[in-house]
Amino acid sequence: MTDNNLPSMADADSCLSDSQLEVLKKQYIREGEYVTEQTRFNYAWGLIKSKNRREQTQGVLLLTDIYREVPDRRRECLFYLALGHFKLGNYNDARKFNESLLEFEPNNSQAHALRQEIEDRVAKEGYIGMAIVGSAVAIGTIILTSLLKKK
Amino acid sequence: MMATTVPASTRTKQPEKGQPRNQQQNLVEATSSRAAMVQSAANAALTHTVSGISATGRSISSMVSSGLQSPKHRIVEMLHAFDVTDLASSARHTLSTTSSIVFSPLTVQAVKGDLTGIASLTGLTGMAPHLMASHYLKRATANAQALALTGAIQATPMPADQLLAEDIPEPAARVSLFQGFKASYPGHAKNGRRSKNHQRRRKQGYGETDADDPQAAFSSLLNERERTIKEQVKLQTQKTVIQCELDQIAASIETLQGKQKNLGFQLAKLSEREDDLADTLGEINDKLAGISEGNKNSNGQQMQLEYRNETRDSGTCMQTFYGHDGIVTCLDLNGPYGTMVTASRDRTTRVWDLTTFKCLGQLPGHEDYVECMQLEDTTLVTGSRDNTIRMWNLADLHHSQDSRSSSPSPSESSRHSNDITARMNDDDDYSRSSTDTLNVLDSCWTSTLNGHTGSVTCLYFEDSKLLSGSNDKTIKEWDMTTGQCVLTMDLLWAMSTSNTWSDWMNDGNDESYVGGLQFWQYALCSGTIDGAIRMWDLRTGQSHRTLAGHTGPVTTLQFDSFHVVSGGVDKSIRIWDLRTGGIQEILQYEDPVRSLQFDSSKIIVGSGDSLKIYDRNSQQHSYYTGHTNTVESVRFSDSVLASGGQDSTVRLWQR
Repeated sequence: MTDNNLPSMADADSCLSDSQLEVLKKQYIREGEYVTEQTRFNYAWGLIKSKNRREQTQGVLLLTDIYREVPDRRRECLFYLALGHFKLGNYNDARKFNESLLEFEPNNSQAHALRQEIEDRVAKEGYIGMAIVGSAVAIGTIILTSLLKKK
Repeated sequence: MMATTVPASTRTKQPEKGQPRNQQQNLVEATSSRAAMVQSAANAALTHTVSGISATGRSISSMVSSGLQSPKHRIVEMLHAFDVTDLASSARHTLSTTSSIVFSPLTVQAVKGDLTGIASLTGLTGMAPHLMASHYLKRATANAQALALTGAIQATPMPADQLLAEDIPEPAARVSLFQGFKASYPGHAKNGRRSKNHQRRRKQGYGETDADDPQAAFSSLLNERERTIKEQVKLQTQKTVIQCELDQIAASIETLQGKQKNLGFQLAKLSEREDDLADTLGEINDKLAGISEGNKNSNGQQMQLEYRNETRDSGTCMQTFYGHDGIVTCLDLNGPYGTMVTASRDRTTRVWDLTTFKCLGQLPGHEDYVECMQLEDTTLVTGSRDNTIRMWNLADLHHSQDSRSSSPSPSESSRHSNDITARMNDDDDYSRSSTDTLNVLDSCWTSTLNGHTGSVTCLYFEDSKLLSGSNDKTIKEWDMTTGQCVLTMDLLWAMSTSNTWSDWMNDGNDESYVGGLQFWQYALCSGTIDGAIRMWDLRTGQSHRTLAGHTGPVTTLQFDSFHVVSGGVDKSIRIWDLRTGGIQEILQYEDPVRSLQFDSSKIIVGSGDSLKIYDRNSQQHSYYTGHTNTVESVRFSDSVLASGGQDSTVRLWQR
């Protein structure tokens, strides 16, 4: 897969407008029972790109369906699933999918970029969390020392 | 600080540690550890807690960043942070997995297991899992509702490992999904805002293409060229995408057709086997009937069989039906184990079930006795001496009407009538029922055909065409759906033009004018009182051929593609060859022939008081005796023969 075939990270963050998403959804519904994989992917991709968490999970589930049902497209779906889980916050899953993709295609730039993003995000969240918890612990120790001193 | 890499060792240790924890133990440990923390600023402890806390902090931050609403949840998380101390590594693991699990929609099942682990850690057994479970359930149902659109709701979504375990084949070299997306929705692929800018710029560009600035015109042309090329590319990709889908569909169609063929073969094989089994069943039935001669209770369906002690040459009288009080004029059956209808001069028409040998009832309606009838499947047509033809539908007859009808079972018998000759030689063990309450099947009648002015003596129907011959010297053709007579053929005129008039016509015998008739498509064959067999063309209504030979009125007739077989009062049966019009064979008997039926292998003749079976291949006769008076009517179906006679009985014979 060349670079042109997969979206960039910026692309993944850009959100579709409501009307655009509606168009995709209508197409999906219109095709009814025999919906093509392209339509499903279009709708799923639109959902994943959105900021709404519910829609993101919906998109991920749709993609999982495509993954399971269309063996041909599985490799591509790996990337999108990694991306989707990354946006949702399931960093473990995202990492697993991404690693699997990199096994098949070690030269894929988007996959590398995604991997970097995942690591960065995980570290960042760790720092933030630590900061919050550290401050909380600090406050707790102050309270306790004050209590002990009173005794 | 690599808080992200969870060491494998701790992972394996954690389940064992987590499980046996006791609530009190936890609390004690918590307080003691807190005191230790306060008093000693030991580096080891600090780093431990910090690393553990980083994990919890990550979970908290992820929670914060995802914008959860539930405050209770946050409290629980905070409490997590306070209580985790020397179980830092285990806490780290469980919390990270918990957070990813809890907030992941794909791992429903895994939550429950880990919740117990968390409960043991926090010591908030009552509170935490319940809260987390309820919260999770809320999210799960919300997801399910939101997913109603996808139509592919999994009850148990697969976790990532399970998905990855599946086979990932090499993709065929073609358009990727993203390219397809871009091709279908170019505006969507880029940032929404940016596309709007593009559109605005394009619109502005249109406005500016005035001819006053050639360079602007040139650049705008270039832009247009770019756009059209892009359009082309987009269309190309769309086409390839659709082509791929079509190929996929073609492949799946092929597989489905392959499946269809396989199933078709299987079906054919099964029907073959079914036919074989049916044949063997027929053979077994025959053997059973043969054995039943010596064994009285062999017919499994039967309650009380009545076997008559008399000499049987060949052919077994399976069953005798008593019930009629007069000469049985005609009968018909629709299958070896189906229904049989008999009519007699006691003005009743009875329906019998050939599997239980019970009389199902009588058909009311005719004002005089029925002279002729035909039963095809569930349609019965009767022609009577009251000049009418009635049609009946026997489809709704239930064969187990024991409760309502105290119909005479074979072992019982009803009143005897006067003109019955002594028929019960050796049967003393039947009981006479005092009241003969027959079921009146008045829901079977469908319609009546009026038109004849003489009694209807013979009829034949096929599909919706009915031909009837009557003593008013006509043969009428009827359309059974409308009930209208469409053609009347005058026999007098036909007979006058042929030279078959003979002396016996004036004897005043009470033979029917038309003894027998049968038709096939447009060809009608009739046997009349003048002993002639006529062929009619139903399109013209004219007789075009006459077969002369009988020296007495013809009483019965049947034809197939090759032969016409007719029987008459002259005690003979003539077999005519249809191609030549000549007689192929004459069979002579001692009594007038009253009824016959033939198929490719045999001719069954009812004349005198025995049935004569003529084997056409071996040209041998065999005799079935049993009736005590003249046999009036014979009919057979497969291996079962039915005959009715002037002794008012109907007998079933096994071939």
